[in-house]
Amino acid sequence: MAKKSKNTKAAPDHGKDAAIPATDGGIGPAGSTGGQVSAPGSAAASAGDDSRPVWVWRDFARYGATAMILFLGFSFLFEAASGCVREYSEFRQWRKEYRQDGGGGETNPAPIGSLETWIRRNLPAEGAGEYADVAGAFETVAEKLRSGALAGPRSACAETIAYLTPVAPRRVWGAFLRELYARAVKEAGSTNEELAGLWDRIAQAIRAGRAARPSDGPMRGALGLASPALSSPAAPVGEAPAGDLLPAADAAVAEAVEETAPETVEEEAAPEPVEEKAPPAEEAEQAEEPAEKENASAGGCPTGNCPANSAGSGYGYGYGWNYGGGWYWPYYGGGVR
Amino acid sequence: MTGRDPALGLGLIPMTPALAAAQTRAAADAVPLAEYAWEAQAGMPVAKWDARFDARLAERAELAEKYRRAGYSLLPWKVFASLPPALKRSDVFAWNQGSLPSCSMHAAAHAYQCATLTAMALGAPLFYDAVNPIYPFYWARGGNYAGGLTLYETGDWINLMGFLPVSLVGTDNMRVTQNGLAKKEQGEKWQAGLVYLEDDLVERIISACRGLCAVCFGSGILYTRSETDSHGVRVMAGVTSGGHAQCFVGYREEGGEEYVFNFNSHGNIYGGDAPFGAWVTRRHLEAYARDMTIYGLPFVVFPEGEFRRDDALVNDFDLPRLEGGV
Repeated sequence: MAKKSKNTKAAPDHGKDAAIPATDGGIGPAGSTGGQVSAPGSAAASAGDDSRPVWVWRDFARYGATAMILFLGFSFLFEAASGCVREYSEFRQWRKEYRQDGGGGETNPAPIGSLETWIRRNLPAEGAGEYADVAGAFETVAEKLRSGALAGPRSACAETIAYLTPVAPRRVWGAFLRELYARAVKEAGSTNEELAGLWDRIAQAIRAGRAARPSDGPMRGALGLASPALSSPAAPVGEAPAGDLLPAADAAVAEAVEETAPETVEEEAAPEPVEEKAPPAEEAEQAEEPAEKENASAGGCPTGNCPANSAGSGYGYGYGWNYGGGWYWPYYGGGVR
Repeated sequence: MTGRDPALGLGLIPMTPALAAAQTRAAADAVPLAEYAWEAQAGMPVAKWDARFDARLAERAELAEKYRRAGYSLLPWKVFASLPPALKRSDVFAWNQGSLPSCSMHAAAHAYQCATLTAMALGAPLFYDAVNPIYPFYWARGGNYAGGLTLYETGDWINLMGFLPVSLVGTDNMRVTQNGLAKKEQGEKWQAGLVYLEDDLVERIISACRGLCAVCFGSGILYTRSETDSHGVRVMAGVTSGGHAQCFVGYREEGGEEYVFNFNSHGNIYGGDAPFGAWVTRRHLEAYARDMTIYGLPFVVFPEGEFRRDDALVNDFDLPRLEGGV
């Protein structure tokens, strides 16, 4: 039976572990007699005693495991922290761009940013004939503000609405105008001159936006309208309608459509005339798929009522799709609404 | 001219010299109407009918024509029917004064309500709430119903003290309640802006109605039935005598003839799709105008009211479509 080591009390650093007797069946070297358990640095240990201390191996394993766990833990935490930092950094970048663009989405109380950019990106797709009238309404009101016939943002806005209603169909322009007013009222200064200046800027932006996108603006997102080029399966996808110029801002959207839709068009344009049988389930699925792809390509918007500036942004403001992988972070996916 | 129907409540009384002097002062002190009256939400003005106001009406007339060409009707009763429930705080549009001599305040209430509806159709961020005429009538009478008012007293009261809406005091327009009387001070939220018509009454009434305004007036005659004229328009007929206040609102032109709508407060006695009144021509207006000023100057009414919210500046309801040209 192994004796109790005398040194157990002399090794307080090891506590009760040091009191475990070393036996032949123990962890210590075979043949050791036991009883000579030296503390590290003790005379016995430094004297080259061949009975190597049992605790070294045990503690090595224990410390090793602990160190490994700590290493993994720290690695995990470091990765998590760096992920957070990265995501936050990306969020800040997105927010910066978003503010610069004036944001998007009719219900979004975003900072104003560049009103002109917002107007250009959100001009209604339809009603090309009304663009000049709409811009004209703003100019008329600007003139009245300067002349003193009107005062204050409420009057200015109501007067604008009074002139816009007969020329801009509410179904098409309502959401755009509502959001425009929300932004304009925030941006407008208090004096008539400032208001008039803002109204002139809006008119110019509408005219400029009209020039940039003759009939196919990305308002489809904010209004829930699909662009003809995107939604009509019979139209040659990727080609603009006659007289239309796809704006550069929508190039990404057009490319995405080109990639996904041509097969669908051909398939629907030339159906098999002989056999009028129900298509196999697989084909039916394929037929449905492009519609989803089209929808997704229109800014990756799953609902068809997404902010227009989400098109091709890679962040997908407000809905949490296609934000580039990595950590799911609540700034996306509805965190900011 | 037929005899007066005693069942019809009339109650407009002629001006006294003192009231006429006060009215002259009020008209002289009027300020230019430089902005939307409802914008200020305090101290509604008595505005001047000057060149600027003429220009404003001309602009409005041009705008009304744009609406007509776009297929929209701006007639107040049609706008009222188009309002979504969220924008309506009461379902009353036309009042019937019954046998009370409260025609003046009923006419003013009709003008005020119509002006509110027109303003809303043109983008004003207001709620529609009918205004109960009985309270201002009772107070302007000095706390009784026994007798009528002049048109000047009517206008002065609604300009300074305001109306009380139905959502506050209910729809009983035949008697006041203690509960309603306790809310007198709240009338300041529903004051009316006024523009007096001092001369050239027929032209100015037509001009105001063409410019989408509502005019409150008094006269010694009234029409008690309607008939369809050669242009297919239901016009006033059956004239009778008696001091009575009513309002004009709405304008149309058929076959070169100009019409304004004559809104009465005797209930649905005229038939047609707007049975609370009928259209009148220049000829009718000239008949009315013979003694209009005896009861006080007619006035254009501009509404006040509660804002829906600051940015509710788009008329977020579908305007009514034109039917039969109106």
